[in-house]
Amino acid sequence: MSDSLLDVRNLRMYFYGSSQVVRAVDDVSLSVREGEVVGIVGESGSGKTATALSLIRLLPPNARIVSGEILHKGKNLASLEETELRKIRGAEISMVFQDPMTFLDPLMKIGDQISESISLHQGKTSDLKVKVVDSLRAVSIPSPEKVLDYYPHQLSGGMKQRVLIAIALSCEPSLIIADEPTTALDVTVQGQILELLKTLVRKRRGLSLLLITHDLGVVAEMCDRVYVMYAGKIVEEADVSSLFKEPKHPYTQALLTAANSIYFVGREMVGIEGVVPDLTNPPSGCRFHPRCQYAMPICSEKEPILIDIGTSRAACWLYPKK
Amino acid sequence: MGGKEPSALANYVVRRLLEGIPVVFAVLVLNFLLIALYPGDPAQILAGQEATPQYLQQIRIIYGLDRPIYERFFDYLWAIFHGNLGYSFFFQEPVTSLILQKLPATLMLLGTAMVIASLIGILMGVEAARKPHSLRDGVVSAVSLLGYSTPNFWLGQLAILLFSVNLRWLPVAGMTTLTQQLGGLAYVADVLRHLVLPASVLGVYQVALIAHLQRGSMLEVLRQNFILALRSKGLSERSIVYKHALRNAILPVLTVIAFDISALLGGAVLVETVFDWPGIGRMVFDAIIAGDYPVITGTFVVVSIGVVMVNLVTDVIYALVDPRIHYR
Ligand SMILES: Nc1ncnc2c1ncn2[C@@H]1O[C@H](COP(=O)(O)OP(=O)(O)OP(=O)(O)O)[C@@H](O)[C@H]1O
Ligand SMILES: [Mg+2]
Repeated sequence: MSDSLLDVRNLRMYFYGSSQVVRAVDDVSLSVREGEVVGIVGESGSGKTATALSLIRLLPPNARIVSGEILHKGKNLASLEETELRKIRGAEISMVFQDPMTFLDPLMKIGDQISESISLHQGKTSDLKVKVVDSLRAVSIPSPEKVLDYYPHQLSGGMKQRVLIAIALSCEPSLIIADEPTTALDVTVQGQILELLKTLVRKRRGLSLLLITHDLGVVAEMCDRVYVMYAGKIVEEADVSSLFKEPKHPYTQALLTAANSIYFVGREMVGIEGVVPDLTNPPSGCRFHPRCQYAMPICSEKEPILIDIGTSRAACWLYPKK
Repeated sequence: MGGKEPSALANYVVRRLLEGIPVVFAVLVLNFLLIALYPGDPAQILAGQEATPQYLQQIRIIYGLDRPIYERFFDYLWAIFHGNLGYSFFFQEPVTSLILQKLPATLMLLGTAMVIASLIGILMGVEAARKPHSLRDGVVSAVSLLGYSTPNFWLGQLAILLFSVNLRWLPVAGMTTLTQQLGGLAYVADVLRHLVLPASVLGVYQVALIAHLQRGSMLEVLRQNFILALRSKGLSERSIVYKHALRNAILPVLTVIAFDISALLGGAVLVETVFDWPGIGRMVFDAIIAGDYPVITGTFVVVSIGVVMVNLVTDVIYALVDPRIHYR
């Protein structure tokens, strides 16, 4: 694991309510290598966004990282000082969010929103404007010199998402975390944004992408490796071809069946019976057992851990330990 | 698309000014009717209780009270367009020149109160919103509630008792020390010393109001998604709050402050009276006691136009700061 750019070990992040605790990220381990596109896939409420935000500790006041390590270039982000962490956010690790409509400051010109990042991390150099124009060009925004002076409301959703990607890229980070970057966009625009992200990772040496999605089609098209997340836990890890050819965990299998039967209502995935459990009081043993067609007595008693199964890893009692 | 053209802004200002005309006209009509339809003999009101019948007759002719109401209305409009707001029998001076004399003192008082109250109120509101339900937030809310519900004439008297009479730190009343002939900087310092208490007392309500509004508006903005995006860029909380969030949160506050300017003027009447501040408010108070109607209604006209102007300026600022507002 020494070639990992990001190495997350046994991460737990809980939300503390007035009377209950939401175990949104519960013992999650994952890694991203240099130049790799890694996916996290799972239904709504499985803790994908919570995981993403934990990685650079972009958490609301009621959230706490309870335990675990987030190793990045020799630093443990889980315990790093806030001031040190700010030097990493936007510079080393940046984020692209789900709904581009609401993630730009409505009162600030596009150019200023980009140059703000660059001057924060690289200082106010004389070629600042050139760098800003370059970042807009890098995300294929037509006539970037003009767009500099636009306000967010003057751009379409797809263009806004390109601007957000330009901001994320502007300081040449080693990792971009994209949390459902296309979910809020028109179908035709979705393809363009994904294509853009893919090209960027291919072209920029040293850039990795952690892509969060609930769309297996996106995973197939974009990712090298995938983590399947369910109820705050990773239930399967596999390279993309193994995942689609031989899904190991019954949850992954169910996701694939649902995706293949193309039951999409709006953009929500349907087709797996039941819902993601309440994370304040998750089921005992394997959290998927109440919805699992192969459930055995042990599944509700003991929690399975991730074990190697061929080229994949899965946490399921169907697979006996060697 | 693109930035805003200066000519578009000019157009917008002119259009908003034109929209102000009906409002001012309505004020003038109301003002006129207030005198014309006042129960009793308007000549009696204008001349005062001890007027002789001859004097009353004279008043009727001067004011044309013997002529039909629409003729009088046009005369009244004509006079106002020529800057003639009538004559004060009590002060023995034309109302226009009275108002012009007293206006600077009032503007100084209101301006000082407003600027200081805005700075303090905005700071309090922002700091409270940064940590909702913290001790800091609780203190701001309590201070805000207290300031909101304390009558300023009472607060004024209390302040005079404490700071002027007991501690003798500040002058009791007035705008200048009458017993001394001061010049230059000494004069300015003397006026400032007189200004401290009335401006503070007048500002307390505004601080309370602004802090409360700013807190709410700031909380709203800090919940928005783009704040998360700013944090993901690596910006410090302070620059997120003061550079981005404040700009977004201050606009609604500004509008309410402008709307509330009439409450501030009402407060000024009381505060000027308590502190014997030689401004419009004090003058109106004296005029009300003396039944000096031309002064009261004349001030009403001037103040109304002032309020319309303040709201216009606010709208223009709003449009300048917020690119989403189109100059329709
Ligand atoms: N601020 C918060 N306070 C308390 N609970 C929260 C908070 N944010 C999220 N949660 C809870 O954490 C759990 C995981 O949510 P998360 O947003 O990470 O899911 P997700 O996988 O990203 O889903 P989606 O596909 O809908 O984005 C959910 O049960 C959610 O209700
Ligand atoms: Mg999410």
